[in-house]
Amino acid sequence: MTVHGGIGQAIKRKEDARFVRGKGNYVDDVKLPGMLYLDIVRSPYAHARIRSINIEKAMKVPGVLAVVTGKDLAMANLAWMPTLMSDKQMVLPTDRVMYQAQEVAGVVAESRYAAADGVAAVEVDYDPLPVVVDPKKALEPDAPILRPDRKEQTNRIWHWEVGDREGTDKALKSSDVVVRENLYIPRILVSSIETCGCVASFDAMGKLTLWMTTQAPHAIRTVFAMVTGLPEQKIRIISPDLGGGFGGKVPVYPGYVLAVVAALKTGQPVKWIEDRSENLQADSFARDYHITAEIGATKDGKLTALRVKTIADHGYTDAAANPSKFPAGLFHIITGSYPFQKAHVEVDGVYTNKPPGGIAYRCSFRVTEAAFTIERMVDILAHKLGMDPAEFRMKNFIPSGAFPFKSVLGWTYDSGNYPAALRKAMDLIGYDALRKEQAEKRKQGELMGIGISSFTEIVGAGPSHTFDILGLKMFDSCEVRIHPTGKAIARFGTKSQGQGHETTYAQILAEELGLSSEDISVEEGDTDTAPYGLGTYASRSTPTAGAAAAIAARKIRDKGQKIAAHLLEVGPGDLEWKDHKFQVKGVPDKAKTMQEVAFAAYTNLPPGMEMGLEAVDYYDPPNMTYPFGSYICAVDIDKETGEVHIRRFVAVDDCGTIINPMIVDGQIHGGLTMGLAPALLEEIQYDENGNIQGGSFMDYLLPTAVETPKWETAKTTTPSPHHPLGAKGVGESATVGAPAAIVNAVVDALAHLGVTHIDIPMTPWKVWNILHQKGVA
Amino acid sequence: MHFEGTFTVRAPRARVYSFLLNPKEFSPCIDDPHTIEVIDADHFRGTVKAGVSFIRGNFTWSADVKERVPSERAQMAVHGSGMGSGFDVVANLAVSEAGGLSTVKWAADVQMSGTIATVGARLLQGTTEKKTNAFFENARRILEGH
Amino acid sequence: MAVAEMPAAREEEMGPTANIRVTVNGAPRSATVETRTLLVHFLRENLGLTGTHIGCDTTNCGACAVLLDGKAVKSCTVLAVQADRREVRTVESLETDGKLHPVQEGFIEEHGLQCGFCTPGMMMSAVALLQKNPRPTEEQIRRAISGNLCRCTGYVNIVKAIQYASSKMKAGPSGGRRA
Repeated sequence: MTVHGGIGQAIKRKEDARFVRGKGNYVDDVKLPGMLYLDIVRSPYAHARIRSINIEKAMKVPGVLAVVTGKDLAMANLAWMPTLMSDKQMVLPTDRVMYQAQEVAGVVAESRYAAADGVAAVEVDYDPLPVVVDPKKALEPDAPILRPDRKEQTNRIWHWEVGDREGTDKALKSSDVVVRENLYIPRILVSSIETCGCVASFDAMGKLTLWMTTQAPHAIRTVFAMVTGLPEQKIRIISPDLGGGFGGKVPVYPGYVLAVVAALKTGQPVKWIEDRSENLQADSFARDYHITAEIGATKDGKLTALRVKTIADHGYTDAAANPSKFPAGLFHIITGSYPFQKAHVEVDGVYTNKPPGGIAYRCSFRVTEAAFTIERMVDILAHKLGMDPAEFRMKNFIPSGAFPFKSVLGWTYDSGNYPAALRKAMDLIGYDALRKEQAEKRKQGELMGIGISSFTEIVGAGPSHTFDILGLKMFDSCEVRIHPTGKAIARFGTKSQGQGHETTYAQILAEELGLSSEDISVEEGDTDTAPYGLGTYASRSTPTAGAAAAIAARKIRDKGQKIAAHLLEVGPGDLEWKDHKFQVKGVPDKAKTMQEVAFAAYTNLPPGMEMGLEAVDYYDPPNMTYPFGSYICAVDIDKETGEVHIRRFVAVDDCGTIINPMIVDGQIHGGLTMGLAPALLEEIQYDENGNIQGGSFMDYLLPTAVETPKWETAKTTTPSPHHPLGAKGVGESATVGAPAAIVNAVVDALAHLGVTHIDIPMTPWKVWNILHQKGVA
Repeated sequence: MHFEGTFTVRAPRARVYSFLLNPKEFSPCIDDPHTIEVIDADHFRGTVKAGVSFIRGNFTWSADVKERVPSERAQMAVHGSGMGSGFDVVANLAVSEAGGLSTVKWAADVQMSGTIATVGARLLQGTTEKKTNAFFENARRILEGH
Repeated sequence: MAVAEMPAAREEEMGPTANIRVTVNGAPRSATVETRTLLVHFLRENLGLTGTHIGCDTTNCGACAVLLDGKAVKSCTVLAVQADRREVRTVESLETDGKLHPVQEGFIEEHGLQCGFCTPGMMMSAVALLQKNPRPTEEQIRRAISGNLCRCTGYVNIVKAIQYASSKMKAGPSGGRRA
């Protein structure tokens, strides 16, 4: 027997009812009486000393009420704030700007337009300083030191390494074949269609309510309490409907802090909404990894060892939102789907005159960089050996019987079946027929390529023994209350940004409680009401809060069983939870539903039992989950223009148990598109003076419906053995897995011309130049 | 960015030289609305309302004559800011005369920063060339007395 | 009416203003606005119609798309004064008599939205397309919404949602006129 809206059902989403009517409540829709507007003066220079800031003219602009500068903040000890990686970051500068578009002053006015007028009237006198754009040059001995405030007088922030250095060296030396490649994964921005913003308001009792675009409201409350000194119970963070997040709404940006300061200073509510250009030019970036990888194999095609060196451009401060112990995130998942015997990975974090950030782009802490590197290198090696890349992967996969599998760099993969996923993808796309077609086309001089990516992810951070952010363990939570009539409300520590939590969490609870999902409402994002949790990013909601929902429901069932026993006048041990009811074992028609039990919980309890029917669970996952998949992409390349056309793209994903297949497919479609984006279109570049070359949607090209192919999806299901539902998380898999498949396809199309690698984005201009050099175009 | 060019005009060399170094004389050659204040012979400052494409607004600027070899060559440095942007120009000019014609060889190194460099960069080359041509055409009209 | 809520004292402080009369979702609205006021700000802030969103500052994303005299326009690039004596339709007008528009229905049925931020603009572009071309091909749909950016869905289900609406409108009692 199934419940309505239980696990595995493709029910329509609850949240859509308001969104299709234009009745969502996003932060810019919040309007309070007397609300003022904040706009921000930003630096035209990437590196400069501030000689003076003249606010006289700005204060005379009609409607302008206040201008906040770094000096004002310094008096309150708020000019700097800590980052999550034990570094520090400016709210506003007192003497020096470190990147173009850095916040320099805040203007508060009665309207958006007056605030913008005020911004234009602030006069800042700058003295330009030498700019460091290239992280490799930043490490040279004569490079200007960008952070003289640090004890270590170098632009190297940290060095991090893992694995067996000597063993890897030896293994590579004794390998029959070794290939080496430099891979640059450029700086990109998530660009959720809603930009960031907030509304800050203090009540008469000094309590701050902050409506804010944040994916992690509870952690943000704690950070705000620590930074501002406000008592934590006097801070209420409300994360309303979010217009996408993808990691870009995890950090604390200076604008948020400025809005709070402005609300304090003026005694009125203050709204700050950034423009798209501000969002692209100053918000948290992703990637920017300069990778050199070497991979070895025996001559018959068995992988031996992997060595990776990386320079990570962090901008002027390390503000990556990584778990504390992982400065390079989970980059050491880089051995991927293969049982390497030896591996060594090192990363150097480097300061440059660019905005900070470091992980945000629909990716669990540098997992995309890792998956891209290994899937690219495996392909290069297969080509070098003259082996088919599918055959080469099949030969080298971690065998399906080897799980749980301990990787050479220390992760314990919970489950996997890599050959099954690749086989399925090959069957769906008709791999052998495509290869034949490719051979034919090549004879006719046409360029067609087939690329594979068989990635392994690591998500669901994470177990408390290893994972924390600022010391806060990375658990998540669910609190469920069942009302007397058998309807329920559940609150979570996470925060949906479009993933459909209101629907999927209700499905989990429906399944576990025997209620209809229609009768369960889900709330998130209000720190005054929801239980504490670390938030939604890194594909962690279903692995952590989804598990908490299941466990909380089971706690309710434990109590419910006693109540049902009381109602049925049997012992609790005589009952079992079967067909979503409490049944007397072997007597199916002697049973009580959860609804009946709920009514009794408030009206007819066993003697001595506490009233009510509710539970809360703070879930500490025992391990990470390891979603995986195999993607195959077929491309045609236009010789005249260099344009890459994705003819077909088949994505086989395995995210364990699926809560709602419709939503999972939607997540994969979106993820694939955010995998295509950096592969073909998106990049934030800087010129030698630190000027951003992709600072608006005119130059930073998001995929439209025209460039995006008709994605084809399929699943294999390998449940996680440690998750209460067997689920693994799916939000990011496709963004992690797709870029390598696309690059592998394009390189495959050009392999006969001697091309082994093309850095992304593979724009028509870049590809055409290669064709031109090779005498094809 | 580097710009350079030559400009030939039917006027004596000394006249052309003094024209190009005297703000009061060359001011009418600038089409964009502007003000010029002469601090001394080698230092000027002012405002100009200009822009690239839709990025348009008021800039304040100051100019220093760095080198002056009368009737022969000169170097000028200009620094400006406004509209969330900044620019620095180092301009060189050399004047020669032959057969009643003066030839000005000029070159300018321009560094842009901020909004103009970010959003307007790809339009900058064309805009600058257009404005420079207009400046010299205006100068020719005045110098040749049309 | 929520229009012209700027206190008179502040009007002197504003730049040039103009009186406008706009028919919005069938109702006549009038207001005094600064001449530089963008239509999207007029709709959102003067009229409280917050279903129309702002996603960029360069007319690329289409989150602000509305119908102006029946044509889809990006309301971030139209001045409120340009809408004077004209007719504007926003997402709030799609549902009539408690019944969702086929495009709204299609977006729910085909999972054509996730975060919902681009959705109103996307739906208004779809409505404009179906008005002109009730039975578009997939290619035509993709072209028609190429001025609307979506970061969540990868467009596959948006295309399906519009196809759903197209067949529904053809079959439905009110035919293609509904849009």
